[in-house]
Amino acid sequence: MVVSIVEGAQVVHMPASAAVPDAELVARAIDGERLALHLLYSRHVCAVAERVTRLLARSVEAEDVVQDAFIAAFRDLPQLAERDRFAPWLMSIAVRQAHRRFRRRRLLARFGLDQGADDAQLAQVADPAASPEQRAELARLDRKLARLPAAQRLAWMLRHVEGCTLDEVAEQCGCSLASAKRWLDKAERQLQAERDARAGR
Amino acid sequence: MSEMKSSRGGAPPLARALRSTVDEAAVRRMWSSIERRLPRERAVRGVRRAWLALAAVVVAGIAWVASAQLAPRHDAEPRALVLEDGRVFDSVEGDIAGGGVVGGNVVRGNVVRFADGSRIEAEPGARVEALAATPSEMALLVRRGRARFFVTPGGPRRWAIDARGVRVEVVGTVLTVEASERAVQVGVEVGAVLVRSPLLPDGVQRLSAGQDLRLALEEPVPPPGATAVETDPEPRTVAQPEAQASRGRKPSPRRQKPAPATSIESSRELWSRADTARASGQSELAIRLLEQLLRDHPDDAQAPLGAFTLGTVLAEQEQPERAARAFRRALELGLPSVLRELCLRRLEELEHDNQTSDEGAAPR
Repeated sequence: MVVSIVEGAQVVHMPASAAVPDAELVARAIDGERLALHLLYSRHVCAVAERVTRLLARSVEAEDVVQDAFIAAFRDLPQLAERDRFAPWLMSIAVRQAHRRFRRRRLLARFGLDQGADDAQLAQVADPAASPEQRAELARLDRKLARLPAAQRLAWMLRHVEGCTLDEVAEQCGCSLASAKRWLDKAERQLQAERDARAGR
Repeated sequence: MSEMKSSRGGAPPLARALRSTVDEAAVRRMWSSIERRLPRERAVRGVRRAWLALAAVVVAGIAWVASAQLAPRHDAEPRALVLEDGRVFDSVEGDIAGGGVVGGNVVRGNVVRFADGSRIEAEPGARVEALAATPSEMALLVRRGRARFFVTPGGPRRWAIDARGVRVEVVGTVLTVEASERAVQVGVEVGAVLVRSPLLPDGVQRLSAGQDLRLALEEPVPPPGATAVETDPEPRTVAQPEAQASRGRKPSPRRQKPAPATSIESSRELWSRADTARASGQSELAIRLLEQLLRDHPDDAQAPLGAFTLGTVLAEQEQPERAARAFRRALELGLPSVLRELCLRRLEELEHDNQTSDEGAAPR
C-alpha cells in the first residue's frame, strides 16, 4: 500500500505506515517531512488519547493534552536519542502533561474556579456489556480515586487500569522506581482503608 | 484506526472492561489543531530564538561595556605601583656620567619609569628613595639633589614627595623637587601640588603650574660660644643668601649678621606660640609674638613669612597702617614669590582703603 500526499509542489510517496518503523518516521519527520508526522500521529493517537482520557476523566481536557503532547513531541523530536522508543517517549510526555493538568484542576477547584465536568470517568466509559454491578463498582472506584493525590492517582491508574509495569509507571510519571512504588503503596493503602471503612470493619 | 493499539500490546486488566473513548472525528479534529499549531509553534520558536539572540547580543554588549569600564579600575585598585619591568622601586641615584642606579641596577639616562607611565628623572648627584609603595600611596624621599617627577594623572594612589621636612603632595602633574643643605625648592610645570611644611605660614601652600616655592632651611646651630646657649636640637631657619640672590636682591648687611646666640626664645617656639594664639582667637598675643619674632630673629628664614602673617592679622584687626607696614616689611625681607603677589595685592587694597578713608574725612 502506498500513501501519496501533496506537500506544496512536491509529491511524496511512502509505504503504508505499518511497514515503516517508528525510528524511520522519526528520522524523516526530523528532516521536515510532514507526512511522517502525520503517520506518527495516526499510529499513536488512539493509545495516547484513550489513556489520557481515562487518567483525566474529561474528554475535552484530554484532547487538549493530546494535542499539547504531540506538539511537544514533534518539537523535541531531534532530542529523542532512541528513535525506536518513540511510543513510550510520547506516552510519558502525555502522562506528564496530564499530571500537570490534573494538578492545575485541583488548584482551580480549591478556589472554586474549576468549571469542567467529568464525562469520562471509569463508570462512564465502561464497556456497554458491563453489568450494573460492575458499573457500580467502577463508580465507587472513581469516587475513591478522586480523593487521591494526583501523583498517587496517576500511578495507581497506570498500574491497575492501564496494566503498566512498575518500570513503565516510573517512566511515564517521570519519577524513580522507588517513588512510583511509594505512590502505589500509599494509594493502595488508602483505597483499602476506604474499602474497609465501607465494609464496616 | 485499526493500527492504533496500546503501547503495552495486550489489553490491561481493567481497561478491558472499558470502551474506547476516541472516535475518528476527535482524531481528525486533534490533527487539524496540531497542524495549525505546528507552523505557529515553529514561528513562535523562531521569534523566541530571535529574541534570545537579540537578548544575548544585548547582554554581551552590556558585559563588554561593563568590563571595558571596570577593568581599568580593577587593574588599578589592588596593586602597588611598580617599575615598568615589574620590579619594586627602591631608589635612584643620579650618576655624574649620566647613568642612574635603581636597586643596584644601572638605569640609563637617570630615568626611572613606572608601570603606570609615571617617571622620575634624577639629575646627576641626586638621590631619590622610596619610602612606601602601597596601592593608595607612593611616598618618596628626595634625599639630595634635584629630581623631576612626571606623575600620570588619574591614578588611584597619591604621590607624596618628602625633602628635608617639606612634603609635596601630588595628584597628577610634572614637578621638580630640589633638596639642598640650605633649601628645598619645588617647581610645578603641569598641574598643582600641595606643599606642607611648618615653615609655611599656614603649614600648607598650593602651587599651580608655573609657580615655584623655595623654602630656606635653617642653618646648622652654631657651636656653643662664650655664652651659655639653650641648644635647640631642631633645625633653625635662617634667611638664605642664595634665595635672595635668586630674586635679584642684594643681601643686606644686617641680614648677614649671625643669628644671636642668646637664651631668647627660639624662632620656632615663637612661631608655634603665635600660631596657637592666632588659632585660638588671641590675635593681640599673636601680634606680639610675631613682632617679637621679627625683632629677635630678623635674619630668620621665617621672618618674611612672619611679617606677612603679622600683616594679615593686623588687617583682620582693622589696623591698616600697621598691617601695611608689616606687608612692606615682608617684601623687604624677601617673601617667597608665591606669596609676593598676594602680599602686594593686600598692600594695594590697604592703601586704597586708606586713600578712600582720607578722601572721606577731608571735607570734615
